Amino acid sequence: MSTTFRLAILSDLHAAPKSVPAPYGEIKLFTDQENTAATEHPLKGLERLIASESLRADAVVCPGDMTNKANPQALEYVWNGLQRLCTQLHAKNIIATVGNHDVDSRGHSPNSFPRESLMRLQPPFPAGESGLSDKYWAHGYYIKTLPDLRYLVINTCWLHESRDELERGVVTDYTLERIAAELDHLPKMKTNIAVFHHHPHPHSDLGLGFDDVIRNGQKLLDMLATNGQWLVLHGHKHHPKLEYAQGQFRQPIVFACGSFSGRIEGDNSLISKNYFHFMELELNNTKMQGLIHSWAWIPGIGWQKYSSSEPSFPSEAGFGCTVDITTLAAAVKNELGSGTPKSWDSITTINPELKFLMPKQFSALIKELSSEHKIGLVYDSLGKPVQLGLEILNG
Amino acid sequence: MAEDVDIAALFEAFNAKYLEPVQVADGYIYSQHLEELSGPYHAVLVGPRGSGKTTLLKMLQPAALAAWKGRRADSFRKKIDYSGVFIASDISWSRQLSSLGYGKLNAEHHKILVLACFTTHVLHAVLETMTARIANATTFRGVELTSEKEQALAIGILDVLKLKAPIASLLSIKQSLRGRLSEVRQLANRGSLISAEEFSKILADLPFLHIDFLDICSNITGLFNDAADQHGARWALLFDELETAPEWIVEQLFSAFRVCDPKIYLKLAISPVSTVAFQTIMSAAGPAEGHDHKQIPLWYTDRIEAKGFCESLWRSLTTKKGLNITAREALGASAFEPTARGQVKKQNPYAVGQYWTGIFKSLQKKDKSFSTFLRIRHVDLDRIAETQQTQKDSILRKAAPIAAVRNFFLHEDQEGNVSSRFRKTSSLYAGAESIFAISEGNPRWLIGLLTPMIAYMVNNKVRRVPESVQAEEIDNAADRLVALLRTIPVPLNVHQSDVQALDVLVQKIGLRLHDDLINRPFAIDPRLCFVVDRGINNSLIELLSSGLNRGAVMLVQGTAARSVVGDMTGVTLRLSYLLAAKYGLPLRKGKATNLSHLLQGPIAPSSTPQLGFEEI
Repeated sequence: MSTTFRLAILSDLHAAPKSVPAPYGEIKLFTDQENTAATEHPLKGLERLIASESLRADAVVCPGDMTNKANPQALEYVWNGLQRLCTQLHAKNIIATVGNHDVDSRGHSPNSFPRESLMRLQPPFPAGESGLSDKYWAHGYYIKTLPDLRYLVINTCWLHESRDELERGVVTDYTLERIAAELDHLPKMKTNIAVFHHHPHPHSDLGLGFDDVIRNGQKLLDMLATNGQWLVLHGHKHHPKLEYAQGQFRQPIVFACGSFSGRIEGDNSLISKNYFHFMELELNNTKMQGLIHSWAWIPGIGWQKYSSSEPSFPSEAGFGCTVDITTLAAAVKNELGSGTPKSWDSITTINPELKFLMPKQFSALIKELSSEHKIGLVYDSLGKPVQLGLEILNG
Repeated sequence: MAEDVDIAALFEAFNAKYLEPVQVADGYIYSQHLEELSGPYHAVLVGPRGSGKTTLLKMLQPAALAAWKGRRADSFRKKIDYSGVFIASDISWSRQLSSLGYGKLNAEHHKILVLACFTTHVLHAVLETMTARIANATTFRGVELTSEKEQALAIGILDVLKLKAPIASLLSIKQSLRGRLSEVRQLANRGSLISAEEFSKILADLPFLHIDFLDICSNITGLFNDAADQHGARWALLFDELETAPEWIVEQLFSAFRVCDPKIYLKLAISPVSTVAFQTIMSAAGPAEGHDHKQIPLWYTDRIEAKGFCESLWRSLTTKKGLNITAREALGASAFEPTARGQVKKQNPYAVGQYWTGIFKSLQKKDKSFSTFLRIRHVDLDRIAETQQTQKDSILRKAAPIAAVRNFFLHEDQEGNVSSRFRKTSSLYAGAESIFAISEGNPRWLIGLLTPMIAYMVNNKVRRVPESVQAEEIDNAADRLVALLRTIPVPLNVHQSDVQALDVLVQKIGLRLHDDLINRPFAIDPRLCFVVDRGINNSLIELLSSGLNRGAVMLVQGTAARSVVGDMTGVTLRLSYLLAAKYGLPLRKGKATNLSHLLQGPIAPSSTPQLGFEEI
């Protein structure tokens, strides 16, 4: 049995043909530009990145908004593209769901029904097989159990035909009840992933708004917590963020994925770029722990590792460390002793919890190491820690 | 076209600039130039874009040498008694430096800050080599340094560099040097907002702005040697792409040949035309070639040597694709190929029925001047087998390439009228020897030419690249070069004979030489190269310098040509063979003519491609 489950995550692609008029900068993934260079086309660029980094994954994840304004040609293009990526990554699973842009034609002909375009896709959307896909369309979700983990896919745009619910995500009481009942009957799994498009808890940083949070979002999170350890992956905000959900116990870890090729607007454009995330989930650890490696899209260059500093989402991030920061800092001090500088890798080998610090936890640890123990860190050019040692007072 | 080849990116894709030392070593094809560069002396590596300067410099880094697995690697490593420090041009002297302080600083302040960036960049590169040597203690020029020793060394270096760092380690110093670069930029921006007088005081009080980079390098490498118990060990500073550096930095580096710490070698890469480098070298007090330093021109004067390199590169590229085939087998013989000596002994290549008599007879029929040429020299094509060997060597072998080109371009219609016609793509230049010649031994060009051809064999599962495919790739390569030439800024006042840009200039030269070659009476030694005479104005000379630095025109050896050219006047040049192929010229240097003469007057209509393109 493998000890790591790897997920290649492409969220909020907002693909559309160049022939469809759109404001400048709204579309970055064109679906009718077959001859574009890999340095100018995010999906082709990703194929090149996968080859150059020899990436292998267990699943390709797409938490919605494959298209912009429900363009049926783009829908088919992206769905086929995701299948191709699965093949290239040797991934056996595709975990996709609907985003508001996939079902919301906004101004399209009243005779077009975007949901039909989705339902006509082959292999059947979103599960890749008829049974589970039918269930998704009928009840707004499906659950699939693999040998090592279980995943739940929810359609938070289920009510988007109802114009009143256009702006926000929804998990209806009906769907929640069905999910709870099914999970209750299934044997418990240590590792569980939930994928849907909208955010289940408020995500209003950088003026990103309050109104579009999933109706019944907290109820959903509470229900998940009662059914094991969960990692939630969602899209929609185009602002990557990693945090614990609220709740009394076993709070799910919620990863708001960055947008693969959607437009980044307002204050967020100063902080975020377009991202491809590659997640490594540890299956053998007692806690939900993992790493997220991210590449940023640079037009003309392609997918690149990037130098990261707060408040941007780091190029390398962990999650799942639950050890208190003060305890962790004391342990690091203890390992370093009063001796000479040591490599960060050697310290994390002794104390693996350090690898799974979330970005803000990591910052807090750095502060604590400096203020309480006079320990300084050295970073490489991408901002990744490489060495630590006692601070010196020179100059 | 082969699917897996991104043609547009081909030339730049093979730029060693973007490769790590281990990757450079992995793809390295041995050339004599590395031997010449690596000696225990200062050296100047001179070559146009793509000629392999970066690769050679990068190969002298310990990490690259350690990773090199070639046949000669072991013996080569034994000869290297220094640690190479590669100094890329990207940060230190790229255009962003010129914008320091938003262009509002006075020249003196700007120079101080640019020098600080340059020095910091050099020091960062030195620290890079130091950390790599410690991290790879057991490999070539690796050093075992206890943590305590490294800590003491770091404190010593920080003191010399007048630098603060979070912890006492070499990695920490590298990080702080990156921080210093930001500090200098911020300082420059600040300087743009205050008075020059006030800013002078601020700059005067910052000690790190006033350190001499060579002095500091000497100092910190000495500290490293001491820590590693390698007292007096040598180092080499490998400066790439100096043509993009500010002139006063180039001057400083070239002047340093004479005054540099003896434990430090300077190895400088530069394009052929550099007025500053030339003036420094030629000045009375400047360094003397062969005495203070060695100049290594990166173009092959010897075709046999170039051929050896090209064949090695062919082997490397084909082996990577799982092919076991010689270039000659895959690409065939060249139409210009001087017949191999062994073959001459066995069989007369000019005998009746052989390849060359076919060409000669065809040309004799439609070209009266060739017929006259043969008659005057008493060459009877029907009795050619009886011709003396010396005569064959002196006349036929020299005449053959010219005859091949004239025969190709002179067209006889059904009524027996002969006229010249311009044919765009041409299988005339197919064949291993021609492809090699067209590459000029320039690795990036050769890889660009061969990669799609090899991909063609792989994709189509064949062992021969058709002449049409070769011709297409030559055309593509020439078009890419012309596109590059088009991007070169045009100096003001370029109005000599309607020339507006470098691509127009080389086209005019090419078409005029072609016109001479085809439409004048047959000559065994036609005009194929040109002298930059006094009739050429400075703006055109500037354009030609850019052309020389980018490989569009080449220096002709045996004339006033030198490795580093300061003044182009009097220099003999030829079009690169890639452009020679585009304009239908033989791949040889030929006789020289004055450039001003070439540029006079319009070109005969028969030579202009607009009037007579004929696709093959």
